Amino acid sequence: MRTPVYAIIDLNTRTSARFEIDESMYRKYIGGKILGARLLYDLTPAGVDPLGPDAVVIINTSPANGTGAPCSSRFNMTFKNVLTGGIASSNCGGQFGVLMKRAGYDGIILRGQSETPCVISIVDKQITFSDAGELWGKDTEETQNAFPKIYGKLVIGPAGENLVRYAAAVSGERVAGRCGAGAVLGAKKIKAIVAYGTQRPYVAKPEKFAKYVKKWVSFLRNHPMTGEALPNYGSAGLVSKANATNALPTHNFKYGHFKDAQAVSGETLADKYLVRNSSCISCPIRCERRVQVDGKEVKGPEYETCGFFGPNIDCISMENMLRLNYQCDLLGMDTISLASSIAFAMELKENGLADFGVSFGNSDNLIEIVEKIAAREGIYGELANGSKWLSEKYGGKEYAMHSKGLEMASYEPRRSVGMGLGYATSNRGGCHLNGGYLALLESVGVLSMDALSTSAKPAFTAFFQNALEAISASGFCLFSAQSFVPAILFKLGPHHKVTRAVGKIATHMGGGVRALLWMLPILRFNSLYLFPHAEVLRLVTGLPFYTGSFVHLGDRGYNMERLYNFREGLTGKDDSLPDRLTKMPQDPNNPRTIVNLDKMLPIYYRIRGWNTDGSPSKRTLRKLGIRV
Amino acid sequence: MKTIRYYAPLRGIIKKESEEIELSSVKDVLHYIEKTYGKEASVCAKSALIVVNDLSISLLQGAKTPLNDGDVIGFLPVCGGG
Repeated sequence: MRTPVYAIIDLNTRTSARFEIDESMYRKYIGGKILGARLLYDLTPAGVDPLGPDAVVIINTSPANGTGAPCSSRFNMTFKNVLTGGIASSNCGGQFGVLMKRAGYDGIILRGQSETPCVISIVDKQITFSDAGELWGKDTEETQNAFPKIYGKLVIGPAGENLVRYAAAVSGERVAGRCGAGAVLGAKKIKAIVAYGTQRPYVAKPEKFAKYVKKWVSFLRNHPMTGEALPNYGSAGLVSKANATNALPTHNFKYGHFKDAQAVSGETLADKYLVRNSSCISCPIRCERRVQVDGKEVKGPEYETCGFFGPNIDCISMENMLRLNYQCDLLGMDTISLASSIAFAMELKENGLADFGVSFGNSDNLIEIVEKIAAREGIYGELANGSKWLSEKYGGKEYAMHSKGLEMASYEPRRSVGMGLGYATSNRGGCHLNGGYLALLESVGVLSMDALSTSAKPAFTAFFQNALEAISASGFCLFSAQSFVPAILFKLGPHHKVTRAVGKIATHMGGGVRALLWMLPILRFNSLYLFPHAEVLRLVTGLPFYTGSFVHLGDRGYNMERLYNFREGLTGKDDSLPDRLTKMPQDPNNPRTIVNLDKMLPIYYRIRGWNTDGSPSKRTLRKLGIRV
Repeated sequence: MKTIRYYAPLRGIIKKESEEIELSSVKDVLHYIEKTYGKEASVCAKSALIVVNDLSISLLQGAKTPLNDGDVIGFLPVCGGG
């Protein structure tokens, strides 16, 4: 076994020190966001300012990163969430993580604050600092072009420098987008971190690992989801699916269906704008879209961007959306929080509460406005604070579409009520992935549970939150888990009686899922069809990971994050959604089209082993082996 | 008149992006596809996400969903993941 090597980097003194993670901590928390949550909890006092000198930023990898396992290039950033004040973990598919690991570090911990803008270089175990000089002020592309091509880079753009609360950090063309990852680097005056090295990642059982990887790659390539749908349409393929089930946020989540959604759908993107598809390192799925913007080939938009710069602001211009997507990457901004804040500002204007010069149905002026937001120019600096801040100043809290301060992703929870519970309970705020992503089983996948029923949703939410937590912390892209829906159901289709029957059964399987959660410690098997990640983790680390202990690891991570949130003042009262979702039915003629949080939350807390105030009970912490 | 819109992978089999038809229900359209384009196209059409005016037929009347003049029937690829 090999324990992870980290560097602690002090920006006040521009010095670094190398250390190994303690073996018992490694066994419990492994890496990525789960180890990140533990370290953040231990290394920072309560109440620290996320943009202040005492804040800590952890950038780390996971055991599988760089090993060549499918979809395993993702690295993690953990820090205090700029938008919520709770935990933040932001995940990115760029090359930086793999190259940092090859340079000899599984993670770095950033402390203090540089006096002047700086660049950190990590090359073959050596960590050096230099002044950012003229790079400060440059966009993310120009900044990355200043370094050798073979380096892994993690940079910020003007938005991060200006502390836009939802600024992103960018690696290649991939983005650690959410929670203000760019702002926390900007606050430390870090313009770029670059890494290069040739160290091979540790694999405990290389021969068995190579065989298993081959098998898994073949499985992913032959599965209809990961072998056809995602490569053909990318995540943007979801626009028409969400629209078909009234789950596509439209007009700032007022509605769930947009009559012209096809104009900004994955199908239209593929037909008219797609140049080719591409991928992160060692990914056989290749979901990335490559498109032309003003004669230049760049990364195309993901589903969230299509939804938010399209139907959610009543716009149908794909050209504007492609430009906005590229511009956000250059400026270093999260398209979800940015576009959702703009939609909120549009509704403020519609209701006569504030005017930022943005209106529903018009995206022509957004390029200019987004530039001003990144620069925090004049009143646009207020839009840079996110929708929660805006609602506290101007009103409209009932339609400020965030949870805990983080804007929700592009799934309308009133047509996917389990997703609503996920948004409300997600530790990092309104996030579909940290929220368990039940939308996939309710409204946008091949399999459809009753999207309006609260039955079984608390159990499924807890289970998938844990599973996705573990997959993410192990270094895998969550798309690699989309093959868990049996291929046969894709062949039969969503309208086939068998598929519908499976969906109906799942709606009543809450008890079964609860039992499964209790049985985790004894589920000592691994399956290619369920969580192949557990087997890869076992072969890479040499530790006894099985399906049960793998999901159990996710449970531990989720509770660790929850503990951090409670310490920072986020409690069960913050497990909430705007009134638009909980009190105003999407369909006025159907009272079931709301998210009944009051009904689901107590059950969810009970399943998780939490107290009635939403805090983890002592018994649960003991069971998970968490000591605080 | 009603319009059928085909998307991948069905489009690859039928070699058409769309066509105009005069049929009265989704079930009739499925029969039409089987009769005109054969078994492979029929299997593919049945496994697609079928929408009428961009709404899933699961929220309407399933295969019995009636079609009116001007309606657009789409056969979308089943997809998930965002």
